[in-house]
Amino acid sequence: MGFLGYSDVICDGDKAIVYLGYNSMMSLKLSHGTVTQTKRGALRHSDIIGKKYGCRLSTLSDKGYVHLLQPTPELWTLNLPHRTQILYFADISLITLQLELKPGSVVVESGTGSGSVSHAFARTIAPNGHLHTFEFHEQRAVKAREDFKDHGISHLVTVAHRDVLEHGFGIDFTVDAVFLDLPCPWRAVSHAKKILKTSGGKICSFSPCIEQVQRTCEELGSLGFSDISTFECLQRNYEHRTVILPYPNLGTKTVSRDDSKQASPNPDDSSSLQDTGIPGTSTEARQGDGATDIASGTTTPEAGKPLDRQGETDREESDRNEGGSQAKRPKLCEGAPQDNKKGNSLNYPTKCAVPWKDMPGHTGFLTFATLYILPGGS
Amino acid sequence: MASTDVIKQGQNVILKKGKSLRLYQVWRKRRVHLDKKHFFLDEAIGKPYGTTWDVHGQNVCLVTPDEERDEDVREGGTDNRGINDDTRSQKLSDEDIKALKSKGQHGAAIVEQLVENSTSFKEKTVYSQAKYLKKKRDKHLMRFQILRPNTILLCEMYLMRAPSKNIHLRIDTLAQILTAANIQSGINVMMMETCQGLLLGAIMERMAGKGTVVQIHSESAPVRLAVEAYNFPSSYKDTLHAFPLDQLGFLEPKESVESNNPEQSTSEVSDRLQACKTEEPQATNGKSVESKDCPQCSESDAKERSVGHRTQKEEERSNGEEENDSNVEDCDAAADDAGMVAMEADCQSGEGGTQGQKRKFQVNPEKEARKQRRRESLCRVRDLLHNTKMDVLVMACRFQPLPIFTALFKFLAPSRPFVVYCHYIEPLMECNEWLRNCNNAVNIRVTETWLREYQVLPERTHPNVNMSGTGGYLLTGTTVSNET
Repeated sequence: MGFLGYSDVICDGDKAIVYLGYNSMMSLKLSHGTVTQTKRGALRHSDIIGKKYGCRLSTLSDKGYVHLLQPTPELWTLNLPHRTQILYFADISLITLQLELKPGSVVVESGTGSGSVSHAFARTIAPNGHLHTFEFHEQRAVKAREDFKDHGISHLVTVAHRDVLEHGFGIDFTVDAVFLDLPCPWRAVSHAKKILKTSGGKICSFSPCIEQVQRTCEELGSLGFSDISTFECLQRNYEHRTVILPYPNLGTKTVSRDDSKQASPNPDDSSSLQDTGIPGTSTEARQGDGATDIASGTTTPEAGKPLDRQGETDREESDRNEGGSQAKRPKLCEGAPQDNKKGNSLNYPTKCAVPWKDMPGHTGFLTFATLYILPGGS
Repeated sequence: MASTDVIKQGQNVILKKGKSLRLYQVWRKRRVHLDKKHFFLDEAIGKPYGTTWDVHGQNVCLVTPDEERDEDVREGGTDNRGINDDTRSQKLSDEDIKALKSKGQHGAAIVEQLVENSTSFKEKTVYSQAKYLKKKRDKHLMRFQILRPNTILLCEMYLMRAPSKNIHLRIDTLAQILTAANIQSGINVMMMETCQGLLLGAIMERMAGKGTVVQIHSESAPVRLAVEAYNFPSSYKDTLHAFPLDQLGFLEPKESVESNNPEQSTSEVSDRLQACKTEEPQATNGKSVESKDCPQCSESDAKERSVGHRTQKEEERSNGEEENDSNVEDCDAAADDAGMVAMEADCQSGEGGTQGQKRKFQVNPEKEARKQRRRESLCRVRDLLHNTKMDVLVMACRFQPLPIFTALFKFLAPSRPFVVYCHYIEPLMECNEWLRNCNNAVNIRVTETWLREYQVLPERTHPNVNMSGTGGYLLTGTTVSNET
């Protein structure tokens, strides 16, 4: 199973990720004799066990197929049962790096929540590090412990049911890093200071509200933490879409106008590509591709057009309803007069990178600090 | 205190003064340079990391934590209605300040004098006073911190000094590469980077000397500048395997190479190399290379390297076009393609080529041995890639990603992650399209992150005035097989 390392064959008792299609996955604990319903059809677990991870499997009654993936902490984050709000990939990545986690690190986490961060931490500190995670909600602590056992990482994680704000961490050794995801993180800072290594121990606090950040930073400063910094990190997804913008009818009949357009090179594009060391080559590849794709047979002197439409289509894209396909193209040309559109329709449709319509606007503020308490007199 | 927490001779350290970061190796009697000052770090040897130091003449002295704390400003004006920008508020002239400095006055004393001689200081609000003090302290106090190099500091340092050398890799993006690639101890990593070893170092740190890293490199030898900074135990290097980018053609699947007559296909590669190497005086002649199993890597000669690069670009371009057209990985076609490029290159530099072959050269036994070692290493990596499926593919380089990506993708086992970084989105979209057509990956994402830092101060919390516009883009996904 993939939470630590990789294995090739799916075994009984494994937790596999069933990839159902774009943006659609589910986790599946495998046991012989069980059948699970998915939106692509039913899956018989006995059919899955013994198969290789990554394989494609048709659902019963051949309604469709799914892919079976090895769980990684990142896939798990997307598929775990939410018992609380969880942290996602972008924040987890930054936290892991800023806390300087690596194999052998000893790290404390509070609270455990649904275990999204815990899995990522455990993966990074394996094989000889340890994660001490604290959760004040008893049932969540129990569930998390079960999860870690199921996922073969229980040797790396100790789950404690404990209210850290009230009682501190209750451990008598020092740790490399502390991660706080608590409602009143400033109240835990003094407890954290007691267990952090004084030679550069790292602390991170995740809080959704700026007032929490304010109080935490004040507390960190007054307790002698240095390099206090606060970040916000948001992820934006892009998809590849074919963008078709209708050619505007300007009431003129000239064909020559698009020559003038081509003559003006796009300074933006060439300058931005310059420091890759291969100016212009990537656009050429694209154009070659586009020309054969679209024109299919027509002789196209326009094949080498600059990609200057990229910018404008990106913005105007929202007017267009959905990704067009080859079949739709002829329809599109109907609006424009035949002679006018001819040269320009070779530009369109074009492939654009379009951000998803929705993106997270806020997850939380990440506050980082380092503890250096220097021995007196040195 | 553990012995690892103190600064030792020979270790790499980072000197941090304000926002500026400098990487130095600590040696007795070795001069370092920071903010136009030269000094020795001798005093710091044996002292813990994280300590703050002042420069006194040529030496440094430790700053105690009490000295370190900035005293709070208590009294101040209510607003700035009485403050005019007339350059008359500071009574000390430039000469006065210079005189103070040349008298060897300590920076703190200079700042004090500046405050005393500023007519407007008392009228400033406490916030404005704090800002003023900070600015003056940064300027006049030669105070810096000695830190242990880590990925964050190195990334910041490179990004500040030469972002393009570092292919604009930003800290959050680097963090995501490591996470998305599921980097951990004991796995097999295949990676290509052109960010001075920063990504390689970060990966090695997360693997802690266990597992395998196959590093594809573009120059004649891999650039591992940043890796040195991490002060890794020497055993970490044992996990590293270098493989030159211009030999990727040599990685054709074994079966096809065998059926295709191995001699021929390797000689094609070596021909190509030969063509690139014509400027090199000690170039081996074509015959001797042909008889050998693996072609040799080129020596680092600037001129020759530039020629080599051109050829390589050509190859990439033609490969890329081919991939775009057919969208299949056709190894034979790719090999032919490479052969054609080699011929082209031969024609271009045909004259040089014949010269190179005619030229007399002496056989240097040391060089021969080195070549032999390189050849062996090439074969070893080839065998490794053919016998062991890789667990992840990580790419962050200045080249077009698609040709490299398609060449390496096939060495990944199913259900494994891959991550490609590019400062621009369009090249990643090409890879995205290729992946969608080849049906060998799921959960494909192209993402960008937005990273904003905040100033958090009592009553003065707001986002920083400046922020990075982009951290580049990432293509991530998971491989699948279409076995049923």
